[in-house]
Amino acid sequence: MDRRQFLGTMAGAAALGLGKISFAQSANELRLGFLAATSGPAAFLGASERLVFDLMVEQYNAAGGIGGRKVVPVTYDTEGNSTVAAQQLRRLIESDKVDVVVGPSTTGEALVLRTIAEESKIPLITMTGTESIVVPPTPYVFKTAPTDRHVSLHMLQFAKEKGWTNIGIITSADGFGQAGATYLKANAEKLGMKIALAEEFGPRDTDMTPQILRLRRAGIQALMIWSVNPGPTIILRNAEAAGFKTPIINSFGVASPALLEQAGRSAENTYVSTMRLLIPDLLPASDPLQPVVAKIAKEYRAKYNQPVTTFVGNAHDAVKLVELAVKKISGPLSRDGIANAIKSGVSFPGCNGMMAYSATNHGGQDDTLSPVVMVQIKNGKFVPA
Amino acid sequence: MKSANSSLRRNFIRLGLLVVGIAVLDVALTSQFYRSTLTLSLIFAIAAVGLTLLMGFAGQVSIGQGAFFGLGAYSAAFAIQQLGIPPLVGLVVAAVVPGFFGYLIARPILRLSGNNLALATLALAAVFYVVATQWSSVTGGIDPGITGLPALDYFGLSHIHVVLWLAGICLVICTAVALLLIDGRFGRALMAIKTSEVVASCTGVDVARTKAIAFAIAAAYAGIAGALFGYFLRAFNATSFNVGLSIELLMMVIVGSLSTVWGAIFGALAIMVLPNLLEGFDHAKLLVYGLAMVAIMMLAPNGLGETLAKLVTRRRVAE
Amino acid sequence: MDSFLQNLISGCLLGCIYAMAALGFTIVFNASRIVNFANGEFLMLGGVGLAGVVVTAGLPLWLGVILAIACTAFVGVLMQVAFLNNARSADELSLVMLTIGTGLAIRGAGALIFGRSVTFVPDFGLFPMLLMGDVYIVSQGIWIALTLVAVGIALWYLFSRTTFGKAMKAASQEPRAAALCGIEPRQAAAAAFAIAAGLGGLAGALLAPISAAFYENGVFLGLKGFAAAVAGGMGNPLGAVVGGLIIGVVEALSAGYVSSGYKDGVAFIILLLVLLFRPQGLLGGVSVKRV
Repeated sequence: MDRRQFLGTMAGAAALGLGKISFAQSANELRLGFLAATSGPAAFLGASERLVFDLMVEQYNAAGGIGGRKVVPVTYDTEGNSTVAAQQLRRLIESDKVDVVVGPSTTGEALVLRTIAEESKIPLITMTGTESIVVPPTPYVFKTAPTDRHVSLHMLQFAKEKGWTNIGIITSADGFGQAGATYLKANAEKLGMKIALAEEFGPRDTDMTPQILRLRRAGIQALMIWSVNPGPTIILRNAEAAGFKTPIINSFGVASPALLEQAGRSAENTYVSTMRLLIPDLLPASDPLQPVVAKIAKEYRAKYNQPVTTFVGNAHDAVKLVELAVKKISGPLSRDGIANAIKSGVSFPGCNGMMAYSATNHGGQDDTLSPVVMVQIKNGKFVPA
Repeated sequence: MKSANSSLRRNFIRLGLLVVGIAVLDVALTSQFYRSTLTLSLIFAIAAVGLTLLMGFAGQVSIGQGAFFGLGAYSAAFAIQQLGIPPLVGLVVAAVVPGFFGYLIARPILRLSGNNLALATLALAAVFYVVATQWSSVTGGIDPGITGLPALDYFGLSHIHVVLWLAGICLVICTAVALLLIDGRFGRALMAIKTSEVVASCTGVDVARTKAIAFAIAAAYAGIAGALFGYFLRAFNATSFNVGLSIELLMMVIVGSLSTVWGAIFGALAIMVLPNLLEGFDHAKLLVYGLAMVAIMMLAPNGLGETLAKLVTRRRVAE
Repeated sequence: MDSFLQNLISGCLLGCIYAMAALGFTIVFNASRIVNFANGEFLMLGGVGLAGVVVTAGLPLWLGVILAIACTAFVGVLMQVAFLNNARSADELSLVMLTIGTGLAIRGAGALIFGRSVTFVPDFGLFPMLLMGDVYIVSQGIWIALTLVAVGIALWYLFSRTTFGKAMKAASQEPRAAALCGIEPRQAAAAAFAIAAGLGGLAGALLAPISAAFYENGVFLGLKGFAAAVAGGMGNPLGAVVGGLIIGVVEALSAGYVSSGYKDGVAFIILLLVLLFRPQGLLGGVSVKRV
């Protein structure tokens, strides 16, 4: 009878799951899968990425689809958990029969999904910033976010130009923070700068005063924070209370107008290295990405009545890449066809840089334009630094 | 004595049916998605069987099995990648290392009971998680963690088939060992301890040693499960082994039924399959999942396995 | 020396929050012998509830705090009356499982109702930042410390000076005798859940201005609260406070002097040692082992 229970449950599971896929498959549609953490610790990335994904799909279908093909979105929440993400990707491939998958947004998940995508031969456009996902390039995996290497280099070079070569860093004990710490340390060495002290904190910690005091004793010239909120806001407030006067440079992890509200006075005069989406209205008209960034920022704000996060760009560029690749295909769509279309060369100005996908570049950004810019907070506003 | 033997025989027939069941499902399931759900259920079932032995039979609570699960995953990965040991032997390493640590820790920790033991094991899981995230020269931390584990494509079968069968075989062996142990002297000693440690020691049971062995076995089972988990995903990081994993394993054995090892297998399946069925609830998924757990415990306080078994028997009697 | 004092203050404030979480565990445990794994979710709910009322709906802060406490207390009573009261088994593990399930449901409901964003609530204000030389206490920290003192006195009065409070404790130990005094064990349990949840709501609300409200905060706060409650001796309210403060201080000092990455590990290892050498908890009396 145990076997009966066992089989019964599996059959029940199968019946319930199968219900979802018994729809007619139309030749004239693009089945577009989307995977991101809309709950769990990585939801800060996934939530706004999902919103912009929904927005763009709606726009395509209102305009008659992509190249006449109706876009059928299928989205799942990965909870930021690589096991769940792996399950959801298999479901997208097998049950939902999608043509291409956009996501996931964290490195841990992407490393697991990469092997599945290659085994199942489905194009996977990840929204992560880790170079090892696409270097060396594998046939089906691409990414859109600027690499952590580029961003950390940008922060360090800025500090070096200011003459701050003795640096302290504080990073969160999660995937985002640990990757940042690794690249900051590696690049500082290359630039001949010194990381005098590297501190960490738990992503749910409530008080970072002990770390701030240690950093104050270390006699550093600048402090770099690599984490997402609420950590950096708490650090800025602790630093203000402790009279910590050293210049502070935040990573794009906090690049959101919410920082101005939440950190308030304690964010004054600090710097943020950010993708252009944070300041769509401050970009000079000469900036080649200005039209793209301003357009999506305006539409996003109009639809959701909330400020854009910089992570919106990761999903925007991924969906844009799918659009351009699909438009290149005249006959019936196939997974291989989409992957090959991308590898045969797709270039466009994205939110995260001048994108130039090719057989050898699966990472997107070409090297001519930095994907990030430095801003400073002055009188409660972001201004170009 | 005769009845004990016949129950053992019945259990081994069930074990045979489990093998047949896995084989049928492997052929019947056309989707890799369902096959991977089955594989993960089998993998977690191994850890759950060990935990049932510890909690259900020896009466010792543990909310720290995630630590041994993770230790097994890292030991196997280390054995394969740094020492060049083949993956099958890696499974042995993944059983021995956590088993050994489990035995060492068991002596002091199992002097505790009730809430203290629950907290001590929870603390173990928390400490393990911190070490796994920080000792990045060995574990790779949270980013990137362990990557590039080999694909197991033996006998011309694909990776997922091989892992499915590997997990199935390990589960059958581990369950068989557990059943034999429960049926023998060791099992009677465990049950004596569960009833009263004082009485057990009066009847000549070495209480501390018996408990430590049960703890070590549970740790070894969790280690094997962890190694298979790593093999299956081929890349993993410390976030997989947070305190939530230990609580999930605890949920599996309680939801399944603590009174029988079959409950553990059933519970693992339930906990792995349930979230997939709730996908349609979208943002309300967590709320519905929590309420489902509450409903299960309200309607079947002894676990799904035992309650369903009773239902079936009752119906049979009625017939 | 100043930075040592500063670390100490930092740890004490952290400890005050842990202490309030631990008190919730202890109060419920005393009245019904249940270890409530949903207790951390009460703190979460207080935080996101306050954020929802004050930041999103724009109501005044004092009203928000009252609403947050009231709603959380209501959820606590609901949990006891609807779920735990109707449990078919008094088995400890199935009750623990019920609280775990309820915790998941509360977290899910919190995310659904109040959203998944990280929200900072404005400071409660009134007090200025306290400066003594180089050492400071932030304004919200003064609120937290004073609240713990007030809560501690109120609970002490309730449990040792009022009949109702004494009866609540008696209800779990001598249900029959308590019933004779007019206290139903179920009522006592419901009252305990109301107090524990309300206290959790208050602690969560106090924490929201300094470390933001977020629907996933409950797990971590529950873990630390449980640890503090057991370290101090489960069922001993004073022990819960001392346990909370010690864990907070150990964390802050190990972040300040050992390694910030390993600080949680240090705290839990010390906890393990406490358990091994003083299984009855720091303030627990020597209990006679029942044979």
